[in-house]
Amino acid sequence: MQTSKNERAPMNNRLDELFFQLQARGRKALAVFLMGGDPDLETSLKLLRASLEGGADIVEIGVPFSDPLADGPVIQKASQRARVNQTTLADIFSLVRELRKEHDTPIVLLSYWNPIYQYGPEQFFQQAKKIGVDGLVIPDLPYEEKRPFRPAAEACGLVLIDFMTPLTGEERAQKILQQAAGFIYCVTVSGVTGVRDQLAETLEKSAAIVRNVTRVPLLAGFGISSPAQARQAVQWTEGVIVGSALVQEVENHLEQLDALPERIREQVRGFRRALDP
Amino acid sequence: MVLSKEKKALDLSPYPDGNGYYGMFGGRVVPETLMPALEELEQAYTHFRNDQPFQTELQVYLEHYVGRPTPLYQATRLGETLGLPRLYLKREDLNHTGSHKMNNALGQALLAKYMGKQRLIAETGAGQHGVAVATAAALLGLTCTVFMGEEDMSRQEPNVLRMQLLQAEVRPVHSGSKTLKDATNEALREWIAVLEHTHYVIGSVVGPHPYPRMVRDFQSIIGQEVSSQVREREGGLPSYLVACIGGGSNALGLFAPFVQEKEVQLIGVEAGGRGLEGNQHAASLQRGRPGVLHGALSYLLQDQEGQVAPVHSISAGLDYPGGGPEHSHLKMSKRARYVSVTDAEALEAFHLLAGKEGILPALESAHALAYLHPLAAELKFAGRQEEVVVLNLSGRGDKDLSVLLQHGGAGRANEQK
Ligand SMILES: Cc1ncc(COP(=O)(O)O)c(C=O)c1O
Repeated sequence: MQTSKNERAPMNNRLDELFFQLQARGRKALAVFLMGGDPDLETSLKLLRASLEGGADIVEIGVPFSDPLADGPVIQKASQRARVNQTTLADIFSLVRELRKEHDTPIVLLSYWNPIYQYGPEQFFQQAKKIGVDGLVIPDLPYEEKRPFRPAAEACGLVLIDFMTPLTGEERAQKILQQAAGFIYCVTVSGVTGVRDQLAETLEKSAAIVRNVTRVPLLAGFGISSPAQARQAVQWTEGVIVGSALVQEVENHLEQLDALPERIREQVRGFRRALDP
Repeated sequence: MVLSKEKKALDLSPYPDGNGYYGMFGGRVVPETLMPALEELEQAYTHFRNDQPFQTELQVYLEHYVGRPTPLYQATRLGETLGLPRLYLKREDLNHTGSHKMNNALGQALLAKYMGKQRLIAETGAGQHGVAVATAAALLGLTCTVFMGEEDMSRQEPNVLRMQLLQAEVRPVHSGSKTLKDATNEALREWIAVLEHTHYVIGSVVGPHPYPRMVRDFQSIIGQEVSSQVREREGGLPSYLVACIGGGSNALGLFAPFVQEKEVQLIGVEAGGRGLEGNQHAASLQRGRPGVLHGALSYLLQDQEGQVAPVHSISAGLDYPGGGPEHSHLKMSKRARYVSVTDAEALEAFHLLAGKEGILPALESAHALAYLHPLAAELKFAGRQEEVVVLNLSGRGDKDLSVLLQHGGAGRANEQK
């Protein structure tokens, strides 16, 4: 299906604003992912704060799910820890509200589709927007399945983030990218999330495809495990998403929760330094 | 040409639509990473299902290797006991490897080979699908990895050994409930990671499009054979078709050629576990709500927030929280009826068939058998005991011996005499 409006008006949400600012200052974006409610609700709020203090530009909060099939063992376990604590959607919303009171940083929720589907997609979008969420990353909702829900999300000013992967061919990329808004989540390696040793060369190729079609910022995710990799990735992208590396840090220090916010702050700071000239 | 006429009838099925939907159910709710692979698979399947060399090779294997057509056996002693004089068993247990799973495993493995893939991966619950895929891999010279939940590995141990003897790698799955659902998650993750030379052989009519359709098509040979066998023996159509439902492949294989024949009643038997009152069952089509698992929208057992619910069945092959998109549609449109029997009723049915007919059924198939009691009562009440009832005996019970021993073994059978 052809859409007539390839050129969309700026959405004026925090994500667009952020990238406008970053670009003006020649800086790269650092997005961090943490699982809401991991290892418990209170600590996860502290960790989100710490990551902002460490220099994150965007926070992505994971909604725990019973069957996170796009995630590797590290995030699966985080989801499991949050579920053992009986973290609910209401808890995740309360995390967003708390952060929003203190910060104007863009907040993105990452949720599998079923929890959103059960809540009622339109109600979910409205509620999310109301409490200050700027975008949704839905790892199991590809372009075709997302399309029917896009108007409802756009109507309340919420961005549905699209994905590019190393295997997305040019024809498919065209379709996806014409719709894209906020930023494009560029999967750097085929595979599920997890800490990886090397950044795939495919980033260069993906970036070239994207740049032919759209100026929506590209963020590299799924495998950025060290500041060095982050620095390498931003040669071709507007920023990176760091997830498993931080979540692994949480897992490694479940017995020392008091010290955890400081560790996360330092780790995020390390990524920040790598990105800043 | 009876077969080609039936094939045409099947093609007349309006489902799935171009996007892989059966009414409101189905679709392709998967990570973007999988989309190119699913598109490639759909194209290949669309091509090869009408490709003469492919179809001929598949037919040859089905006949000379798997042993098709399978018999339609009139179970007179069992029928007499139940008050169903015209009860037939479709003997899918007599397929090579012991269940209907072989029909689909072979079809997909051959497709994978035609696509140039070198490796097969699969999930398995009862181990029957895993064994079938391991067998097809050996036959066609492909390597094979099977994902199996830890709990299922212990309750279906003979099948683990069989897969290993067939030189497949069995990878234990420790996440979640350690059963079929989690094995499927793990197989999907593996596929996302190693797409290029690997084909994922899904074992039931579940998963993202085109799987539910492809598995249905490969399994519908069951219903096609039943159609001509019943016509030959009874001179018409069967009145009732009964099959157990895990993901729903043996049931849909039996039902599919009859869906347009409105006078044929379709009955799917789900795992009632310890009863439908609590959450110790796997009756997704009766107790679930529409939801997304493993890439498709279907009836799903889940909590208020959309977290997939833990399920229970004595039978590893039925221990799955989703109902598959086409069954979900048949349920919603009321074309098929979904019922359940408990663990205990299934065990009893196992011993009944063993004693009356000398056949040890898989515990999955025993669920379908157990529903013959209420069905017989219903027919008696209506004065219609003479109706032709066909039950899909989807597999043989050798794999279940340890579970049966735990539940009293032969001692229990003797009590029944
Ligand atoms: C013998 C047998 N019957 C039935 C099933 C259930 O699967 P489906 O509902 O796809 O036929 C299984 C699954 O393992 C099985 O092994």
